[in-house]
Amino acid sequence: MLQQHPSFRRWAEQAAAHIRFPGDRPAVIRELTEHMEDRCDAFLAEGLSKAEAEKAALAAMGDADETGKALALIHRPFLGYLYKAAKIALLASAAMLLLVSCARGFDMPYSYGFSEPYSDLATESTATHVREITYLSPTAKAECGGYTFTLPSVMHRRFYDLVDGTSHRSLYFVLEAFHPSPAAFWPEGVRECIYAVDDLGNLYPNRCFSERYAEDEGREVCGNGTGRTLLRYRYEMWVSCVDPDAQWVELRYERLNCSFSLRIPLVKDGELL
Amino acid sequence: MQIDKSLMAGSTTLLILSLLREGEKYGYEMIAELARRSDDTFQLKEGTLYPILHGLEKEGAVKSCRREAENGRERKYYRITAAGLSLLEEKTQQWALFTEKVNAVIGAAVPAGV
Repeated sequence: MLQQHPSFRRWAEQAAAHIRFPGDRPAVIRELTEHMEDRCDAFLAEGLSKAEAEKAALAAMGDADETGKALALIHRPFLGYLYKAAKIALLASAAMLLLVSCARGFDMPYSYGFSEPYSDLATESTATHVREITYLSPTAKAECGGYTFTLPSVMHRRFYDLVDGTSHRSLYFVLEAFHPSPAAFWPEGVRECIYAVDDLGNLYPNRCFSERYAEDEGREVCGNGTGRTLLRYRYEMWVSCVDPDAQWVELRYERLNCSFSLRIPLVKDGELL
Repeated sequence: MQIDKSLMAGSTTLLILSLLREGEKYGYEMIAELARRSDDTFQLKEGTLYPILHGLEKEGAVKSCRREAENGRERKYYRITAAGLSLLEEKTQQWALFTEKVNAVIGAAVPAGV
């Protein structure tokens, strides 16, 4: 229909040219052109010829510049550009989020490797040993380098050797680092630098990259980075050879220009585990 | 008798919203309907109608959508919103007060029932 009335379109374009935000012009041109078509139809219905009806429709519209100036007052460029900028910013953020997510993978929340396989071994007894498993929920929380560190899952294991009469304790834990920015990466050196102490003064050095020695009775902290989601990183770690009489173990970290400590009590219902 | 343009200017929004209260309409339909109902007294110009419509749309008093009209062509229809109905009520009250006071001042004898 628009091609049939080039004069209508010219009039509409002349009016719309006054609108300073180009994004608003096409819709206005279309609406005004359609309006002239309707006027033209009305004149045709009154019995005018096509040429007369078109001429009368144009004349009835009045001055294109006057109409355009009135429309320009409503279609302010600032609001138009603001709207456009907001749309672009929104799309750019969505694209950025998608890119970051793709670059870093969409790993599903990590399923705690040791809790499931051991869940039916709360107490395991054989002719040679007894193994007691206790799950703990420490509330310790620490902030460091923009990350929030927590211990969503902790397992304590005491192993009684019935043959030589000794007992050994180990602590397995999931350390979670949360960062509010999806652009953040794994917190630096957590797995390699975290170590532990207990209330008896024993040190459990980090041995992730070290040779294992017989001294220190095998006391060590080690583990793996095992899972991540967009904002969370998880490490599955352990403390080996915990002193049989220790009442608590404290995980310590000193990097990222900051330090944190997370204490895990080894007492449940007033009883040493 | 021609009506002074400045008299029209103050009541155009009221007239447009009143028309839309009865149902959605496209631009030309409003001009034609206004002329018909007022025995061609109100000849609304496009340069008046569309800036008002676009302004009302920006305020949220009307909403527009494109759909096919009775003549088979696609048209941009305007419909009144809840905010538009509130605005209409406000404008109607203002108009009633205005005419009442103008009449009181000029002392016109208004026949009963008008």
